[in-house]
Amino acid sequence: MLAEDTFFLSVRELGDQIRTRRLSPVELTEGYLGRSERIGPRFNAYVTLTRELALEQAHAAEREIAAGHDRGPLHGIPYAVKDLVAVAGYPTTWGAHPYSSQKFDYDGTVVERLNRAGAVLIGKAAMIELAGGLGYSTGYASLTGGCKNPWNTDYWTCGSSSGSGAIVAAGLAPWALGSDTRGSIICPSAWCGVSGLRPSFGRVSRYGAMAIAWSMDKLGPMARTADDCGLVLSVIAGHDPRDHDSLPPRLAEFPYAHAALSSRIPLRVGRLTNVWREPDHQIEAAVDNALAVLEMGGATVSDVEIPDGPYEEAAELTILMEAASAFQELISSGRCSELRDPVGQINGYASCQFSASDYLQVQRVRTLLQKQIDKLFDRFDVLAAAGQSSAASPLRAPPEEDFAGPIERRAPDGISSLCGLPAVTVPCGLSKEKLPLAVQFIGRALNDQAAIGAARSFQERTDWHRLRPPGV
Amino acid sequence: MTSDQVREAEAKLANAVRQFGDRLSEEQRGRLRRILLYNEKMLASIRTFRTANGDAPASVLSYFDVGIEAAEGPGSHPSPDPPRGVEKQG
Repeated sequence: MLAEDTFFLSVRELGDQIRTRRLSPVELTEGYLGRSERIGPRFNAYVTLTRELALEQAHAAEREIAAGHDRGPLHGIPYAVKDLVAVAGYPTTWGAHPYSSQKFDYDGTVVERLNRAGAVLIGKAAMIELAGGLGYSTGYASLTGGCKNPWNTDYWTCGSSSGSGAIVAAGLAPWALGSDTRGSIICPSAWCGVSGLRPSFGRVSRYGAMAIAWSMDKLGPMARTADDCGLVLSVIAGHDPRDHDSLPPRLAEFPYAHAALSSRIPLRVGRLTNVWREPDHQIEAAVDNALAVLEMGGATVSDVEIPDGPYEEAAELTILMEAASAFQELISSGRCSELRDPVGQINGYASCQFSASDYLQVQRVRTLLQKQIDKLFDRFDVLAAAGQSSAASPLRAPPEEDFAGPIERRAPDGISSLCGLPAVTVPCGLSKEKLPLAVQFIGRALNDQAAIGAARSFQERTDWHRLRPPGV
Repeated sequence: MTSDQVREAEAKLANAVRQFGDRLSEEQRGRLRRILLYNEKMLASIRTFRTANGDAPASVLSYFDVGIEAAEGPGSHPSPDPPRGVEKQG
């Protein structure tokens, strides 16, 4: 029987033990499956466990490794995938009742790549219905119910990659795949105290994944460390002609090199001073401390402001408009009424009223905003900000009166998602309620290395990422 | 909100009700109205953002318009060595 600490090791640590035959992929997989079956329901973390597939893949990995065939950093390593990616023969529910019995007979490209890398799929992670594509007002907007934060089950994980966050935080898998259209990897990673990477747009194929907004959807890893995120990205990144927005091969591939990142000093960090409307003072202090750690490591940190512009509005409108098209059949059939959330039930009807010229105007503004933000990276390698404006919020029932408050005018998630920028969030403290606080690093488009490098540099000097939720 | 914006939202509500009204309760119509008013506010910030005739839409998000080659300069991709995970993939 494996020691409990094993389930909280990083992908790199687990991989080292597997390759040196100190750890059996089969035993590890059995262990994670057992924890997932035993502990997972406490958090509503999974939609489906893929026990049979997992054990088949684990046995194959064990045989290959014993025979000296090494498929790389994820060989024999278990993972979970958000339930919006097709896995042949298993339900792919998109977290939503209208699709609760949906199955595909093929694997999404990302799963194909992970299969080739010898990774072991143990389950499909719970998520917000349609990844929030038609809007939602609370964490209960999911086929599997509200996803509970392993740090305190009265609190929400955030969404839409809710289950992926809970799974990694609770040690039910060492990493999980999430998706991010506007913050759906960054927020649950921050609130669950794990490390999350939203890759540059176009780097990871979305073939076989549910679409919300084609021009903004990204897939990426949530893991114990930024270094693990880099390892996973090196496997899942790459050109795919089946994804219309896939980058060309030379740009899509991610040749992650562990040692090379540390040599990139001094790191130039721009601390965003005008993001988040009302940031929690605890988070601001934690971010200050995190950046001080980087400075001690040789980085230079300067304040910088996001130029004025309707970033959040452009991001929100792009999602609403593209989602109205992506879910056109669901909306026109009226089956959106089967969604749980009162906003999701009707939001598509509102989004059908946008005009084509409004869509194009949003996209014209987007081009200008993209150029504005890109200029900042002439002066900085990464931009830094709080991962979220607060620690996790309580898991609440839907509000009775209104659907949503005003959007965060300068939430960094919207800005960087709109512009396709890579971002990494890592834990950097605990609130007085003992909930994780996080700092995020945003890189220039395609410079995922810089965002990973900054986060890794921080984690090499601190141990916030090694904290575990109580009682798991 | 300006009266023009409110009128536009009300017109969209009327159209949505014409299209989908048989599916909507009174409560849902009220919520739909609030959503449409809110969307109108967001659109206003887009419509007032200054654009020139030649400013093209990001219909397909392109990195190449913003000098992204700079991000590929020395140091951005620090190592030419592929990790084993990539190397071994067929």
